[in-house]
Amino acid sequence: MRPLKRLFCLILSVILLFSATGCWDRRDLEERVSVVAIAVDKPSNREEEHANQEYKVTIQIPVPIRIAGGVSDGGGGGGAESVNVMSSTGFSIGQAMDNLEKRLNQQLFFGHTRVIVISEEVAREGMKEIIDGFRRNPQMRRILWLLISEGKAEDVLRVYNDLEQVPIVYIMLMMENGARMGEIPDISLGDFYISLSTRTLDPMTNYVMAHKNDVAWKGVALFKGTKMTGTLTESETWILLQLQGEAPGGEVLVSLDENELRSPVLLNPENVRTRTTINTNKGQIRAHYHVEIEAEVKEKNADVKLDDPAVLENVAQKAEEQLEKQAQELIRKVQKNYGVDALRLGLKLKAFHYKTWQQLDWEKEFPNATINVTYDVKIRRTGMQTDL
Amino acid sequence: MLLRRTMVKPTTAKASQTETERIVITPRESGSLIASTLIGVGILTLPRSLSEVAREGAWLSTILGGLVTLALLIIWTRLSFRFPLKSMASYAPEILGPKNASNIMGKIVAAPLIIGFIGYWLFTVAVVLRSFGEVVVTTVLVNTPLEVIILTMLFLAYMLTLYEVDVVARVNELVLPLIVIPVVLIILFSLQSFRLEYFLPLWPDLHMKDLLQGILISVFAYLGYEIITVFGGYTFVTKKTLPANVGGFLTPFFIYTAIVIVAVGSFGVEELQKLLWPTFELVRVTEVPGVILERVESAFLGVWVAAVFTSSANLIYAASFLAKKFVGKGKTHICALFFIPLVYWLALLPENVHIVFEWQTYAGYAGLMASGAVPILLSILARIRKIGLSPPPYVIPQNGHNQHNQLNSQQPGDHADQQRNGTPDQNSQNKTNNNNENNSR
Repeated sequence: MRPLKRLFCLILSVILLFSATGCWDRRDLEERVSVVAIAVDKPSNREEEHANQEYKVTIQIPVPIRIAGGVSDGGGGGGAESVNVMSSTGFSIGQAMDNLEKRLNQQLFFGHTRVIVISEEVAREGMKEIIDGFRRNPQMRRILWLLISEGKAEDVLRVYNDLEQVPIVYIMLMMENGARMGEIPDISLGDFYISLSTRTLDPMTNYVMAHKNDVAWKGVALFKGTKMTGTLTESETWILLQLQGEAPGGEVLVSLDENELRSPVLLNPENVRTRTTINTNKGQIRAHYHVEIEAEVKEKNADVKLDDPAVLENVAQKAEEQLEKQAQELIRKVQKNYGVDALRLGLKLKAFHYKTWQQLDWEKEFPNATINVTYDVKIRRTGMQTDL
Repeated sequence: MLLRRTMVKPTTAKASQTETERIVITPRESGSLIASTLIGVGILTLPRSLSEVAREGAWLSTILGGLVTLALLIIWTRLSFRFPLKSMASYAPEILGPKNASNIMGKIVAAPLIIGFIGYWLFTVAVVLRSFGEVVVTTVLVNTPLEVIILTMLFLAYMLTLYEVDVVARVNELVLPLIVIPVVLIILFSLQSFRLEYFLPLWPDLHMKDLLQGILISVFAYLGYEIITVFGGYTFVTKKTLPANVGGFLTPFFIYTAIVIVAVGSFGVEELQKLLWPTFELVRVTEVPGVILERVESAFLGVWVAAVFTSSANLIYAASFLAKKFVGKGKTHICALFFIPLVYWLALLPENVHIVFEWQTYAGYAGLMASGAVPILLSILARIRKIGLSPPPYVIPQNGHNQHNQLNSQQPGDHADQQRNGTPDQNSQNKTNNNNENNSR
């Protein structure tokens, strides 16, 4: 057994020698420039550099030393001094990134990217070239926020406030909490990819606007293919979420006064259940959405006693009427103005009525489909106060 | 039922010339062998290749392909029951050759078969290692050379060939939970992103041709159970052996089917077709609740090393073992020494990953020939010519002693008697023998 043992030891040592060198990819945190956010704009003054610069890419990079807060540093700063924001232009996104890399001391690393912001200007021209590079990059995650910004995208990256150490984390958490409360659609980059490649889906993604010290969520941007075609406001987005049965959406202002919006009751939807029925008769698509909402009263300024069940019923009815009206407006908007199937009706049609879906061209058929909505609002709670 | 086993090391000087000729593998180990060989690199691309041909009908392809595979596996297992202590290298010549002539004739007839099998296994290992290396190099270890990843695996596979079959079986039994548990967890976590609308319609008006192609692809993904021809002869033939082997196939079958279903439901078929490594992407979008683990994919690949190792090392072992038995002398690891450079060269031959995918298809076709046509042919011939044992003598181990049916008088040797030497005094004797040997050196 001796020679075999020797051979074995030799081989073992060789293996260890080889496997222990598997640290080619070892990188300390300080040796990596983690890009936490990317913004894509059109360059403003093209004469300055080359004529054919298509994109201006801005990245946000946290400075580890400032964030970890060395003792001498006085516990780490926040806001502007804890990150670097730099911009560069290029013919394509990748080229702009290379230009950025040339000016940095380390390689860029996209494994921690949390937010990608694209300006409306770029999105309306079409995002085909942008998406391709992001899809190919193995470091780029699919679970991150893709945002379209009203105005300049880089302004979103330059928003500084003291709520979080890294500014982009504040935006990320804002979106995440909104999604958890059911007010912001939970659309990740991966979802955007899927709706791009799936023929029956039209992409949409969240729409934001940067102010000086904060960012506001402004609804969603609708796409036709890779081109942005329009936007939906916050309340329209909430209706959309309710129709899809995804999330209860945000608060509903119910005016008991017919004429004007005065002394309203503020309802907060808690739960939503949606039943969609699709009828396909002779190629005519009729869809009916029945949305059940459980809500609670957040605020009441009207002169009514909510403890009375009849009054509550009245409020709920008013809310239903109002929501149905809004939903019809929204449907008209997406059908006639944009022609974008934001309701994901095509997907349902394909899943449950495959034969019919095959026979028609849904893209052309969608604006002609008849879509009805009925709401059923149930007010469950009225808070900690009685109205006696 | 606990099966107490013999020591691994040959104890007498005579026995150390060749490796142990005993039945040493328990049914459960046999099942583990099949399961861990099957779970390999095929699943990384299976959802994509299936959704290309069968679209939303992918789930049906995996299930039907699984049934085809199951039938083949049962044929293989029953064939190995006929020939205890023999691998294909020994029984193929017997079946194919003239009956009462010398063994040489049979060997000449069976040579193309054996060589074909060895070649197919080595080719498969090359494809498996290259695919795995590609995944690792493109996603996690960007700066690590591909050669190193492949070489490390091959070294490990070589280490395994230094040991006997029962060690291989036990390694597989040990590693199997390591592979299965994380994969099952990933499937469960991925269910969060499952959408019914992506998964439906269940039957998207498939042509028969598409469905058949889908079945073929899934059968390719299930290949690897042919190793039963090497390990089957050393497995205890009990009432539990066939169920254990079937169970060993059902484990990957459920995993594969579940992954295909979850992948289609999470991405939709059109997106799936755009993903190079769909299963890997599935892991990447998985959010493990409660744990703030960024980028689970590195952990997943770490686990996947074990899965790829068991596939490639088992196949290399099987090929080397078959070669050794066919030549009739030598050692397993010496054969492996010849094979490993060949595999390494093959693995680095394709220029890029798309050629590797083409090769995967070739390996699939070769495997289908090898594991589909061969066992059916051999089984029928063996049955007609009445070669081997039939019905198999069920060995019912009791307290370390086998009570077995009398074997047919045709059977050379009485190996069944020496299936174990587990009496305590003998063991102590062995120890003293060993000590003496060591002292004398």
